Amino acid sequence: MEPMDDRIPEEKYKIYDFINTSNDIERVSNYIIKLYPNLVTKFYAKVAAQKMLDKGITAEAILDGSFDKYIHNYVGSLKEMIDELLSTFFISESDAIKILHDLSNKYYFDINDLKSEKMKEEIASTYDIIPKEIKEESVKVDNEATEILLRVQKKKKNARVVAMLLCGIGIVGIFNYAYKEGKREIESAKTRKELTTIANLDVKEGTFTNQSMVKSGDIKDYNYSQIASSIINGCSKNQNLFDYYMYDTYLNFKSARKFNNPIVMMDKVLDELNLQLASNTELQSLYERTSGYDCFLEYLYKEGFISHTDSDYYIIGQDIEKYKLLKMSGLENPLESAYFPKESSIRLNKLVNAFTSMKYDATLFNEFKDDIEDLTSGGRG
Amino acid sequence: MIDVNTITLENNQEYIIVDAIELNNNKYLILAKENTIGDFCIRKVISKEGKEYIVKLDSNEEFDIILKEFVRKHSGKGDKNE
Repeated sequence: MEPMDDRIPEEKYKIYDFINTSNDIERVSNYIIKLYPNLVTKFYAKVAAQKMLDKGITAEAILDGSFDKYIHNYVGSLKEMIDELLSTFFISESDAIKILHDLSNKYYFDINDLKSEKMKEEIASTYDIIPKEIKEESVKVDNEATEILLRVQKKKKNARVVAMLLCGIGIVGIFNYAYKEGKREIESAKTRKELTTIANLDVKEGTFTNQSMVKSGDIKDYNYSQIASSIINGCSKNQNLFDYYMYDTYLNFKSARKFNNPIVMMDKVLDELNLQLASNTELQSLYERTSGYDCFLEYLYKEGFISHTDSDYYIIGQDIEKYKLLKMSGLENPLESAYFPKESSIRLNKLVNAFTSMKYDATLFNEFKDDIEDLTSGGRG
Repeated sequence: MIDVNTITLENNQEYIIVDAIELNNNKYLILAKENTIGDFCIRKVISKEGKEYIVKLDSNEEFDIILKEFVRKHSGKGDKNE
């Protein structure tokens, strides 16, 4: 069989008219779609069918599989175009397929057409997507600053996840602010009494808190090493798992520094923590067995902000090690406390209260309320 | 599920626009990755030739200020200026 030329050499963006589709075109196009159901549109299948039939190939020969290789090559060109879109634009594969499907309902085009600047501009404009080449043009070398064209996309996201993001950022923010404020106040404290008073204020007041700070010695000897020690001691002894989370949070925050958001002043403390953590096997063991997020969820449960009565909850701490951790934390019924409700079971009011108690405005969640109420409608135990 | 706004940064990673802060005649975006609590950043929005661009912050101090403002905004309390 001779190789076939399936390109249209003369015309670009040729519009095919399939109003009077012959029965053969219909049968062959259906056969092609059946072979590649998720890749080939009806339009493209008809184009391929017409070209083969125009070559004198009979529909019967196509339908008995004699030209499957040709069809495979044809579909392969579509895959090539999908890859071309992915390399050209900041889009997902599903978006690329959708774009090709949309365009193929209007035009016939091949890979060379897709590589043309004209078509790239048309696609970028029509679908409001970011061409990677344009991104490079907008880069300004100015104190290593990078400008990115602001293109906002609307996406559907899990409401609970978004709520947790807000809380997580807020916690980090509070900690960041509280630590600096606390450190400043501690360093300015003149007496042990003042130091004790400072240490007793909790996070809600925006002041760094750690119960073990009340045991800090002479403030004249106060240094980063002591801060680190007190944090580690507090995490080891404090039954409030929220401290675990905060400890974990700012350690995780280290990984976010590459996005220009370092907590520079934490460097020295973190260095000390790393040194002391290495010798604190108990805390290290605790830290390794749980994640900050789990601790935060447990905190919510402990404080009564989330319920665990539904049978479809899934277990956080299924393994024995986590069970021990939970028992060590002093939680009642540690197995029950290991349950965290599926997203459909979160009680909106209690979740709102959780954030309210951390001084987050409940109105923050108004825009999530309808969706979260839908999620919770089946989980009220 | 809810509708959220997202953007793609120079690292090809998608970030949710958690919040927008306006301060000192500047607009800032609080961006967070969907499944990683603690992995977030703050970028500034600038206008040039009729288009909006996002840029990195100028200093660590600017980051602290905006983060503090974010907390203050959602705390339901009064101004906590030092």
